[in-house]
Amino acid sequence: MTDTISIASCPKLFMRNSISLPQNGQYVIGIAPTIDYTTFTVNTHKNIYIYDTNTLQPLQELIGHRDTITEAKYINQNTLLTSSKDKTINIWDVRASQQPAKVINLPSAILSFDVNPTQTVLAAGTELIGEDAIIYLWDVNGDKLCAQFPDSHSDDITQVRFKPNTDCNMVTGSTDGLISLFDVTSLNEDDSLQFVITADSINTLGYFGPEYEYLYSLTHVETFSMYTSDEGDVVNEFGDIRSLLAHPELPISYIIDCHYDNINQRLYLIAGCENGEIGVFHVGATTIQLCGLMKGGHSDIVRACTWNHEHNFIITGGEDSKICIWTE
Amino acid sequence: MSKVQVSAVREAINEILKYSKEEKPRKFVESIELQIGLKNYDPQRDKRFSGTIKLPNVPRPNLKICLLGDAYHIDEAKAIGLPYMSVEDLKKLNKNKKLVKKLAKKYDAFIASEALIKQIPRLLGPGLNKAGKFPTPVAHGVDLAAKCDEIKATIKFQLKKVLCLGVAVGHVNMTEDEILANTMLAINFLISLLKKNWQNVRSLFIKSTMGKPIRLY
Repeated sequence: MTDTISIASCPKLFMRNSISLPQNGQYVIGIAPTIDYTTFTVNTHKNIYIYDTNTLQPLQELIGHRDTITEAKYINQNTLLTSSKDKTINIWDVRASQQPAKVINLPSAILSFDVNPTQTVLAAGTELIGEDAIIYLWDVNGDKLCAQFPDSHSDDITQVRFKPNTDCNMVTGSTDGLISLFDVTSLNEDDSLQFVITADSINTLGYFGPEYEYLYSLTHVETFSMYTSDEGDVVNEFGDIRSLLAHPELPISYIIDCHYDNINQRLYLIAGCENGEIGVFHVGATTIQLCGLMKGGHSDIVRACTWNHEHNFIITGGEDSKICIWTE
Repeated sequence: MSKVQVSAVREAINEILKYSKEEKPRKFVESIELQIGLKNYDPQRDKRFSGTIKLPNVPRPNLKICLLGDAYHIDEAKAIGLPYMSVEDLKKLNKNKKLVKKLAKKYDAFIASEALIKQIPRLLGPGLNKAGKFPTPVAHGVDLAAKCDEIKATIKFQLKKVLCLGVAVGHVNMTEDEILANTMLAINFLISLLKKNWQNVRSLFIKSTMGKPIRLY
């Protein structure tokens, strides 16, 4: 419960700047900052835009995907990767061109992807087609498919994440309710699948902790859990956060994301209200406490949030087509 | 705030039960399904509508469950007549894909002793994952029969590309009160997950397998 802190005395973040997407009615679905945060990419389900963080001016639009865009992330300062239901992962040199520098064609619609720390393997999770929801492993240097795992999930694979400090550990999550932990050293599915966690329909997964020894999991029924990332032991299952964080002045109705501050080694949960108000919560081993409010920015469901802990600002985007930048 | 009155739902359930039990009984136990039609909802860009609900009363009593157990749980399974397999039994399958698939087909769901759950991928490979039947862990000291009931009471829902969703909330041999409790919980939970709640609902029907749908909203 959050009743130990009053909403009135909770620190409010200041909205430094905001801008609307070019067309009315567009949803901000994802925000991907560059490594130094000087620019960031915003994706709707159909468009990809690049913005200047300081001025919030749009710099350019990237054009190339022919179906719903599912994820975007930078692998270095100027190289952006995006996945789509059009069965491709596009690689963009954002300085050079509005068109992709390279297109990786895969056999199915891609819902999520990640690249391992040394950038030798790209892993992608697909939609269920027929009987198969597949995890593809792409050999980046050899420029070819090096493995496919069709058996570890029975429904849409919504999340694929590599452990940020090892090259071979990967976690996947699906609407089938499972979280699968892999060691992909061998490239053989039977040997790679290490542990399986039974959860609920998975929305978001992430590694956190000083050595990335934990995982957080956010589900489509708005539950929040933490596990160990080596064997998948439950650290805490917080349950439905809507009732857990219920407060008359801040009626939380959905989770936006989690963020790990690796400078201060703290995990935060960011959750929103239907009217676009946002609460920032500090997550302890067994407790969740409200520690910040972002009000007066969004007027509808907030879908994306990225936090620069070094310079202490947060970028949010939502179904009101707005992008907001918040500082203390 | 529900837009559906409990009294109206009770009346509909009454009508379903009357038709199914008195007017036109069938040779099998009809299930009772809730059908939700959505509007102003775009699966391409709105948040997914997918997950599980645990109902207060078991809607699927005939679900066949098998325990993958340690010695402690196997003793308990024997006492309540629950099918089980030991680690030795699982080792005999030799990670053979066909045998694992056969095992998966034989049961609707699996539970496994907590001590054993981590070994399942090693023992069986990803076969149970593929079948959508990876076991639910159960700790020592938890009543196995209660755990099985919990699984039988948990239903999945998932909206794909069609804006219509059906969930089985019960069967015609349940009491009116049991069906009512399940129906109300399912309605309220599902609607709470929609971003505009009732504004996303086009229609709400309840029906038995062979009966005609009755509109609730």
